[in-house]
Amino acid sequence: MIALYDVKVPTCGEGRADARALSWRVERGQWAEVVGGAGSGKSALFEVITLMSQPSSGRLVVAGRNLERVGRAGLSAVRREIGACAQWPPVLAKRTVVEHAVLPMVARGGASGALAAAEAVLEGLGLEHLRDVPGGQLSAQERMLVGVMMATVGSPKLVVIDAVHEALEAAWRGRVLSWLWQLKERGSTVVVLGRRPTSRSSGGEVLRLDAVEPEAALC
Amino acid sequence: MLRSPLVAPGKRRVWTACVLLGLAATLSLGGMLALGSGQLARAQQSAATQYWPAIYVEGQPESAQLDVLIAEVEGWSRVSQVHRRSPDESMELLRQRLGEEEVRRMGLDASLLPVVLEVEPSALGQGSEALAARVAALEVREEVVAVDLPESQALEAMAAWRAIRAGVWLAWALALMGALMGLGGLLWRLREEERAEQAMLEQFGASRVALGRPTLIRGLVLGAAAGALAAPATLMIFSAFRAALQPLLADATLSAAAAVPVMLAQIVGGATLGTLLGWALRRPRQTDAEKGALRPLLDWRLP
Repeated sequence: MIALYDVKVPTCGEGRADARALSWRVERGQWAEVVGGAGSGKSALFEVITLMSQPSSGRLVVAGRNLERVGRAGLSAVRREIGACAQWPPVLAKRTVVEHAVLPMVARGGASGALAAAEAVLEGLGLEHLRDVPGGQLSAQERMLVGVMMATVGSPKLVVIDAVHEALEAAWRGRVLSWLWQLKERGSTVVVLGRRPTSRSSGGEVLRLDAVEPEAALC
Repeated sequence: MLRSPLVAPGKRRVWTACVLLGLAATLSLGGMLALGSGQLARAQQSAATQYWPAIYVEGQPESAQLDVLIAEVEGWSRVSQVHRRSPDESMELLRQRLGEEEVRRMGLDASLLPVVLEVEPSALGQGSEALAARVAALEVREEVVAVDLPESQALEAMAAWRAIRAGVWLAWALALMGALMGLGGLLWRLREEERAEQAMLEQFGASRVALGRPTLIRGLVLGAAAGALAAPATLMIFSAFRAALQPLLADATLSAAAAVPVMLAQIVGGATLGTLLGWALRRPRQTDAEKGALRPLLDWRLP
């Protein structure tokens, strides 16, 4: 599902600007974790895997597509296979939680089954009580849960979560990891980035960024 | 987009209404100018092709002074020939047109009528104002009783219009540019208000076409709506001013053949301009990050 070949990811740890050349492989339907401290390049790797940014060098394959050979339209097609949740997921102040859940389905062009998928993910994560609450009225934790909800609605082939679970209360963390595991069981590839391995890490692949030597100054 | 692209302009009613009315007024003014100048040109053309200037001369038809005048007028570059009509011939013409009885009742006699010189232009329509102006100047001569010019007011209006035409159209083009800048400002503002939502949609795989469509649709609809407002407004204003225009135009009645193309041009032109503007503003301009860092792949990322 994901293959990185010498992909240079900028890091900015301990006041120094470095880069790490990463080679890594995640198979379809696998649970994978990327573990590293602050400034180790987790968020940069998140941006690269979710096609928000392009690395300065290296080869990248996501969802079976070599990104060197896809154009703008191809990038959009690959993004439709990905559900991503950043460390501080943005929410729309005037849109309700259920509208947030519908949005990824609309982006993927599957508006017909969007509401049913949205209701399913609300139920799966236990967020029914927030259904009609506007984004502007959500707490920080609820915003993160909405981010996870948007990343997982419609069971995309690849789900990438950037450290959100680490900022949640224990009960919610457990529920989110359980929900992500269910997705993995249903065939999705799940990549979780964080400072520490999760309780599910033994069942999957773990990439430790701190174990990869930094090489050249980049940022 | 989660909602129709036309919901956002509806929430900014005052701004949208001002932009619509401004663009409609500009398009309407353009239509008025096109219709008015067209009518003026038709009136002038009609006058120039239907009438020859006439010079009424006092004195005997066989006088040498008259021959000199005819030779002078025939020497003008725009004159093909001068036709001399004697008082007797004029009397005969009157009898044919009005009838013997009517002429007698009016007490007319050949001795009361002047010699008439009808000036035949060498090319009808072209340069007729210049010819009319030269004929009009003859009126100050002693031997000339009067001159008869075809629709002199129309010719004067046409000459005045030609003098100011470029300036008026330039002013209109500037006004149109201002109206389009207003529409562009509205489209830009609405796009920026939806930037966060568009950024999310792009991240989840919405295509560039889908992301640019709302601005394109808004441009098309607002432009077409302004054109649709302008078309009937032009006709109403033109009809309202018909009485004032009557002395200038030979026929100020607006024909469908003249009005329909102008109305269509307003609607299609408004829609086209709005669409082009929407196309130009369909996505935000982004500059790439410095060399060496990650290069952003999203158009709609938040600033």
